[in-house]
Amino acid sequence: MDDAELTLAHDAALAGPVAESLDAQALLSRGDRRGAIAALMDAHGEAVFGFCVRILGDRALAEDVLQQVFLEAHRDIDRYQGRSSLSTWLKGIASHRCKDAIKARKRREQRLESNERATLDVADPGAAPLERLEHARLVVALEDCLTKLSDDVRMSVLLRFRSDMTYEEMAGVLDANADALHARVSRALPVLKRCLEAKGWNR
Amino acid sequence: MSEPNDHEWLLARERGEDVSHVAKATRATYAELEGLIAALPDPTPSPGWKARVLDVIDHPAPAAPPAPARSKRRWAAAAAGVAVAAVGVLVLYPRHRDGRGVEPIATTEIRRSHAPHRAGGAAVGDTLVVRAAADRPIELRVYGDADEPLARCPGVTGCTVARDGEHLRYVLELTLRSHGTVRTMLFASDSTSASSPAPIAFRSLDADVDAAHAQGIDARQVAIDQVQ
Repeated sequence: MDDAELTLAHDAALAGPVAESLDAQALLSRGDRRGAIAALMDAHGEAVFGFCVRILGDRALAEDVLQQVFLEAHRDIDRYQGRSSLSTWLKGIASHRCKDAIKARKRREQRLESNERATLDVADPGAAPLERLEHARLVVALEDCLTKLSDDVRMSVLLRFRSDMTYEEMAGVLDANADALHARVSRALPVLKRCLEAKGWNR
Repeated sequence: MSEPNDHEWLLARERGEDVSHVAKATRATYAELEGLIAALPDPTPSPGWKARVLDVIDHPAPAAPPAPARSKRRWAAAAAGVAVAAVGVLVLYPRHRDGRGVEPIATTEIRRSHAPHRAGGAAVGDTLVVRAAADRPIELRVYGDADEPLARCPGVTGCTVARDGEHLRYVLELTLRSHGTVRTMLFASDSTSASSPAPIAFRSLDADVDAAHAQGIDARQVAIDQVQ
């Protein structure tokens, strides 16, 4: 996929969420908090869930957090001041709730039970053309490499490149300063690259 | 192979500095990696999750009933001295699990009975209020700092259970009488037809959780509160 294709794919992926975020803002301006949350769930639910699954490595826990994020959004949406996009605002809530869930899980694991990491859904590559097969393998490899990063680093990389946040937005979400996040992300990328290369990525 | 100083120019790039001196192929490799991250497919949550969120929005847990007023003057004094602070650490929301019904909801809050303007968490003398709703019998249990049992619901004074349509609604109120960690647990069987979720002893957190697991009963931590 060349740069132009990537840009087009990215724009197409964003068009729905952006439009639905606008719907949510219109509903919110009419005082319809419930409708706004429904629109936000349509627009950003899967992205928030994907973020949480990748951070937590546990689909069931991620789904609990997903629901918690939107209930919290419903509770607090009157305080949303438009200083960031609704998507960024939701990812901020998700980041905090994922951190809480990680802490709670660590405490629980110490006392109660262990958790297996979830396997993310990836399309079955069995009957796909060679190119799709290779892409599916690459996605699986990348997902695995992401799990090798620490929780904080993985969260930073995903917010930067998957959620397309600025460092200023990330700083607000992660309670860290932008300089530290620059360093965190720039160190993580060569680690991911080496990990992928070790799994056969050879562009 | 990655060059050892990749992170240095990447750091410069992330700071918005010019990195045109870096080989185009090297930059392209990272651009492709970042494109792959951007294009990772999002997994899909289980069907009906949005409806479950809206259901919780439409049917919030009932608020705690106000304390009965014995006289106007006494009520006024109580109103001045009571503040409620929500401090639920982990709240469980309903989630379908393979047709085995809907998972229970549980929330906790601390009802402050003294020092209404005090910030922070719970204090001795405050009341821990646990609310839950479930489509099957469940049991709420609270354990103290040494994992000792403090209260269970059903089973103690301060616990009420009421049927609300297809759901059972539980409210447990417990006055916090000592410092330390207080853990709220929820025990539930997978079966909506079970008559009792936790026919297990009430000895200590670890023993009870082990016993629950041995009987196939789900034991979940609802919240941890630090009592100052």
